[in-house]
Amino acid sequence: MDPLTSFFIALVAYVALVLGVGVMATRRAGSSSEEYFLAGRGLGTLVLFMALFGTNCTAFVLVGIPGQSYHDGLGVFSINAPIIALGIPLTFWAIGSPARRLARELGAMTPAELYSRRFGSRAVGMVMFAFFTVYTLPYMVTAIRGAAVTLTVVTEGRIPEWIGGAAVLVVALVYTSLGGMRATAWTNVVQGAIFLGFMIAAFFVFANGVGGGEGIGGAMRAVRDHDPDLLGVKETGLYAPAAWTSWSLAISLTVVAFPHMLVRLMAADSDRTLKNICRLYPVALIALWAPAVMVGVFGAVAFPGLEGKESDRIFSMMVTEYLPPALSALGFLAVLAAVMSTLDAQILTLGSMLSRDILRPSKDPKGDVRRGRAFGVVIAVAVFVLWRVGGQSIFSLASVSFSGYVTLTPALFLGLRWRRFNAAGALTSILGANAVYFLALEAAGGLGGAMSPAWFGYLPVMWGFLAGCAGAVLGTYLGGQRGAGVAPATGT
Amino acid sequence: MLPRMPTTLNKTIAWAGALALLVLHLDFWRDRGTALLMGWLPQELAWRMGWMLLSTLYLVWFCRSVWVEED
Repeated sequence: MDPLTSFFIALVAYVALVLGVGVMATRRAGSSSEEYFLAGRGLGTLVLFMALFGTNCTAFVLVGIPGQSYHDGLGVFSINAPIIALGIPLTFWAIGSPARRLARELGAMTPAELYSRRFGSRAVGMVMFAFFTVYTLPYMVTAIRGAAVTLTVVTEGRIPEWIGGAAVLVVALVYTSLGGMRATAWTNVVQGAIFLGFMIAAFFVFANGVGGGEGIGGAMRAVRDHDPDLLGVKETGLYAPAAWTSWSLAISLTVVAFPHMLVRLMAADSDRTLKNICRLYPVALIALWAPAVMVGVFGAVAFPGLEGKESDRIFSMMVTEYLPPALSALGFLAVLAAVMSTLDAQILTLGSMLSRDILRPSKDPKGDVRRGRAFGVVIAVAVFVLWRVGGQSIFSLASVSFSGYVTLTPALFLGLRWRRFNAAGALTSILGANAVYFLALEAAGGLGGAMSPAWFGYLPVMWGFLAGCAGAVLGTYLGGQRGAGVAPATGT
Repeated sequence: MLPRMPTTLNKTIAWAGALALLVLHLDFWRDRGTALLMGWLPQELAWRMGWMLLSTLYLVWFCRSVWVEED
């Protein structure tokens, strides 16, 4: 069977599988808005873990990280994987756990709604909604583009990019609209299993291929003979001390501020479930990140000479070179699975925020669900239009978004852990952090400078975060007791 | 029944542990060599994997001794 036929068969099977899982999840679901947006606040350990992991890990880990590792070697693992393995679980404890409890207590179903009710301030909810949306849309556009390019490359142009992108959006929209959070969570179990399983298996096959049949040892020695620096860490750029410190802050704090991650944490059935997830997270991150980085490092030996962004093709090149057609088809499906497992959560979350944060929650229990579905379609169309007319500037905004979410974390954290923190503090924190963040971006070279030093060697994200902390304290003390709202429980 | 709160000692250990892990992550003082341990494991990867093992153990302890379930 030729590779193209294999891919088409696998693609049809994959689409049927995720739609089938989505429909099955729908049958188990009720029809209330709490059921649709939060799976009845009843997700257990396995499903929630896969939903969080699938949402957290985008196609960038499968395609972009090997591309970066091709040039920078193991340093890409060193600067990313360890700190998120600690940082993400700790943010689940610091923000996710109290957010889940308070959301249940206040009947909130979106992150912005939670903080709006916590402070008794619609302004806080609207500002949060605005930043969540502005930072999430470029992300979605980048994901769609990645999926569309993958489909076009694998089908040798038979599926044009615009059709591929539209098809991915439609499939994700269908199962998301059918079953809401429960459908997306269960499809994420399938999608996560596909891309995680594939990466682990591919790592051993690639190592054997690059190592001349001598397994991992042979591959590592081949890397050492080719370019020993790939086995170490660079000392310049992102790897210089101040930039490394800033990046550690960014990558460990940003994930919990993704609205599509925070809303999933709010869907946990208990604190015990969140604890279990925190124990599992580091293991899963190692299982995904180590192979992703090594694909790029091994690729530098197998296909030397790629320059700049050309290395983003290394994943496809390794898959095509070392895997038989049936398995290579699975490789490209892994990319699609990673894209869709994030995209569905984003569609659902932005749809729910439009439904409940911009409009007031409906009195009809099914009214919010209808509006959520309609807004899901609006979001999907908006993403498609932005992708087709936005050009390259949209893609450079994705790195701005990644660090930008961090500017919200002081308000997210203090809103749940500091009784005195009030609406004035939250607004001052968020607006001040973003003002300083964008000034720092300007100093670092504009919208493309999110990963370049701004002042004293530190990245823009560090300055935005510090401004957010300072703004929170100043705003709270200068704003008096107005807007203190519902004081959260501040246990551990 | 009120949830059992973490002891002051456990809170202190939690802060100290997180700080120690952070210092070990910001390891600019370390020789980040490119040698292969046992002929197949890069020294850098071994260090990071060791760090991740430590942080996993820390998280397991943290979940048991510091994180209070309030359901």
